[in-house]
Amino acid sequence: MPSENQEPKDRKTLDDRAKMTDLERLRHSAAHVMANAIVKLWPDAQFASGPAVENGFYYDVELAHRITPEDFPAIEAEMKAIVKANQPFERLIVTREQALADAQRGRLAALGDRSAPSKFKIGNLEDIPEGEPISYFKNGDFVDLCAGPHVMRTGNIGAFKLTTVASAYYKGDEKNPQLQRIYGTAFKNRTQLDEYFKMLEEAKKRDHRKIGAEMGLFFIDPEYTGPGMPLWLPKGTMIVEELEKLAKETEFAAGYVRVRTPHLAKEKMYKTSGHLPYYAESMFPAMELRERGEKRSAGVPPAVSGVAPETSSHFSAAAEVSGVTPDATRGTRVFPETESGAKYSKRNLPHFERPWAKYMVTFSTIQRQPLTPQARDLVLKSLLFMHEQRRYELYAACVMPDHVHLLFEPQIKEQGTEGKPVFWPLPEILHSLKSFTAHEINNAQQTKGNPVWEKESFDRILRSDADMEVKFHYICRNPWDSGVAKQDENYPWLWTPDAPRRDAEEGTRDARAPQSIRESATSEDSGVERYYLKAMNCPHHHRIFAAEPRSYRDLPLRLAEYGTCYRYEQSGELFGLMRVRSLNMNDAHIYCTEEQFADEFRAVNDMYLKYFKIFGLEKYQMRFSTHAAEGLGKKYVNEPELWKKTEDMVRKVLIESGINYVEVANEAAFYGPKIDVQVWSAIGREFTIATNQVDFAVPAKFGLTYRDKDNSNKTPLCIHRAPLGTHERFIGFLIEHYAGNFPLWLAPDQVRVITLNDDEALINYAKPIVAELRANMVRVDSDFSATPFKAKISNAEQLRVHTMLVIGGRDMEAGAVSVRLHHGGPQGAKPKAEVVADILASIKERRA
Amino acid sequence: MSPTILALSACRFRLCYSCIDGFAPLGTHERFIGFLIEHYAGNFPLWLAPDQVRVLPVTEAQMDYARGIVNELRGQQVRAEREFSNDKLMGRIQRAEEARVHHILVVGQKEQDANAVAVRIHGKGQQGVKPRAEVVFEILTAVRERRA
Repeated sequence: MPSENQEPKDRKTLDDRAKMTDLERLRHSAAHVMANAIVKLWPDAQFASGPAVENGFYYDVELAHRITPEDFPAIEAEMKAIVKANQPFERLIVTREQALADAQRGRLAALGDRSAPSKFKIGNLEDIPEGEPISYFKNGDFVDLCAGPHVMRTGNIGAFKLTTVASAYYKGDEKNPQLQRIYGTAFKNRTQLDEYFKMLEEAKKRDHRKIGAEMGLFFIDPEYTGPGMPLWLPKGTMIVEELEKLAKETEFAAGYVRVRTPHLAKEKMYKTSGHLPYYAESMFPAMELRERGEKRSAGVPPAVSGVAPETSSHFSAAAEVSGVTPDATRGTRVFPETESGAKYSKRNLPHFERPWAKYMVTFSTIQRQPLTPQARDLVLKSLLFMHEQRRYELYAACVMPDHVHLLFEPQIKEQGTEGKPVFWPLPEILHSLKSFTAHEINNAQQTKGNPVWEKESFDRILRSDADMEVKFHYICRNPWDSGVAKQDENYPWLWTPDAPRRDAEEGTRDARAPQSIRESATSEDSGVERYYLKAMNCPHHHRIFAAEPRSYRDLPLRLAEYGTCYRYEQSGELFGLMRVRSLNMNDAHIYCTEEQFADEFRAVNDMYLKYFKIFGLEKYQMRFSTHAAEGLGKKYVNEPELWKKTEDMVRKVLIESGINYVEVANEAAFYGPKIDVQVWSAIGREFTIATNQVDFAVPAKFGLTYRDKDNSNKTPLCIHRAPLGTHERFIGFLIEHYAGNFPLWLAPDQVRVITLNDDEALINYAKPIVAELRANMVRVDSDFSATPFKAKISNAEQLRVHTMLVIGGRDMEAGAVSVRLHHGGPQGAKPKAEVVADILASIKERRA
Repeated sequence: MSPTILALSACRFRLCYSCIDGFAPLGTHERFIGFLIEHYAGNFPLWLAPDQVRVLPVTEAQMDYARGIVNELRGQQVRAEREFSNDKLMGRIQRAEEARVHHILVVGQKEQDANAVAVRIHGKGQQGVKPRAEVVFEILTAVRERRA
């Protein structure tokens, strides 16, 4: 359907024009005839461009008179006369000078010379590159600047009709004059034209936005959620989940395994895949995260203020039992449980905290870069300083070359309201530690602001004495177990309460430390990380492939996910469920060897056919886009042999499976041939629901390899496939296809049990039927009210309840129910058990 | 299993205090699965186990028999697979144990002739030879009822 925001496409190249179909030629010719008619009626009309578009044509015109649909009959009558005259379309080649001169005389898109120049045609002339021939097309007296192509004669335009008027800027630029855009359509004959309008009429009735609202399937909330991001309402979600169930069952049977991935990824991911920068404009803008080791919550007083230094009397007590037993006053075997004091603190990951908890904490140096011995000294000293300051009770600490382990118990910071003590928050402790030591290390190395630590820390609450003991021994053995220290040597950066406390006692810098901690609070803030909302799932799946070493035995590996992606579509292009910004994709990536490719591709095809059958899609076509040799290394990845091999295999499979397909050269994706799947809905409207893609470039970019039988490393081929497309588009399509009258398995309201009246005996008979169906996961509800029976039925019909089970006295006596189908009417009374079994079977088999 | 883990098993991840100790709201897959991994020490009950069933034919002669069992289970959405290689049976069993496959079904000629399978459960060892139908039924029931 034409819309106000439909901008003219970039100027067609000669190549594009050569590819125009017969119907497009016919429609473009109809545009000329329309302009011819308009200029006959309004001789001062100035025309701009008049291309064939999807489903028809338009011509942009500047005219003082505002053309309305009331003018259409007059224009159409003139057009009819021109068609009837059966004028030939003549092509004339002219020089640029000649064309300019004619335009100045107002001759172009006109019947003769005029007082005003054909100003838009002058502008159009400028767009024709030097060296490209300039041509006119002439029918009767009407001459237009045009590169064609056209039908032979006006009489070849079988049937046409004007449809709407919209407005558009000249060349789509709002700085240019605003023009009237007159739309029409044309066909080879009257019958096709009538069918088209009948289909439009039907499509209007089946508009997925209208039915979606009637049925409460989805809701688009531009003000709060944002445009193009549908909220799936409960009934829409039922369809979503049925489709996912279908996909999961089908994919399980086909040997897929399912994965799940986050909705965000770092810039590096998309730079590697090549989506950045090539696809950047279709992605949501980056989120810049200024990563901090820990975020300090607002209003928390600076570290260490108001903490009274305390002697380390706890040491001796703790040390007696090798520093692992909690002190006597809190001496429980299992550590205190979570109470109201527990809280979350949000950093990159949720961390859990609670009072009197003991933690094992580990954090690493940035990219595991080793710390110098001097730096390790500084770190250990800082750890002990915080212990001295009673921010925590330290039970063990080990500064390894590239990470740090700590075992500690945060101490009371202050007495809060209601006499409840406030503990030093874990994030604050860690933030102080990391930023202070980073600052110190930078100082010592005479650098500034270099990151020292990875942002995240791993903390874990210790559950019990036993747990603590395990962790304590782990830390104490770490330098030797990891081979950092030799068996017979000492590791100076391991600290336990019974170890000599030389570092802490030196303490010459300690007096300065608290101030430094405060000052260095932002020292790690310099690093900015860029994250993107994922626009596709493949890079994530590639990383899953890379997560483990793979061998030929693991292939084919079929990773499936109903992944949510986000794409930044122009707001003007958003349209119901058909063009959205958030999409749930029936995605999977199949990693395979070249030998496995044909079988895998065939299996994907079979899956399509299976789905087509389930949804009753009788008309479909695969559009197979191949490469062109001249584009190798430029438009296409330079792998001539792989192109040939995979294209041959795809072609062979398509032919063997007897699928209706067309092959289009020079339209493949950069990294491999692709297949677009086009289907026609029940009313004959075409939708592209899915794309299959062969990919032999991106796995290499991600360095994906498997170990082959001969022990060599090879890069797998990858097939991207999404037979059910996205939930958004597919359900949009299904709504139209079924006109909202979904088959039983998909219907949001599957069954309603309706009693003739509110007679108690009837209700008692009906209730177990409802219960039995629900126990079998059927979406069933009941209407046992005293509302007049006819109204009850009408309510259910309006709601599009698929199956109504009507129960009256006679049904009850016979142990039967009367079945009524939405859009199928009464089906008569049948035994109860038979009806229930039939419903379950219909759902299980996904009957149409 | 440590006493703590045993105590946890007893409550079957109802959100009692000892369960949530250190984990708190278990409302996300991330946290909850993190918890479950520890809770079960990776030895998930059948319904949760990533590898539910592995059928090991003793020799090539039982390949078809094994395939039939796998297909029957997979048809009921059970994550079942078959493994046959030149490795010795004990090696294959060990690999399955290492992979924490919940049910290991060994089928030799004797089992095939008797339409039976030798059942081995991860962590519990051999359970003896049982009729195939009974084993399949047991597996389906355990999955459906989400037995511990």
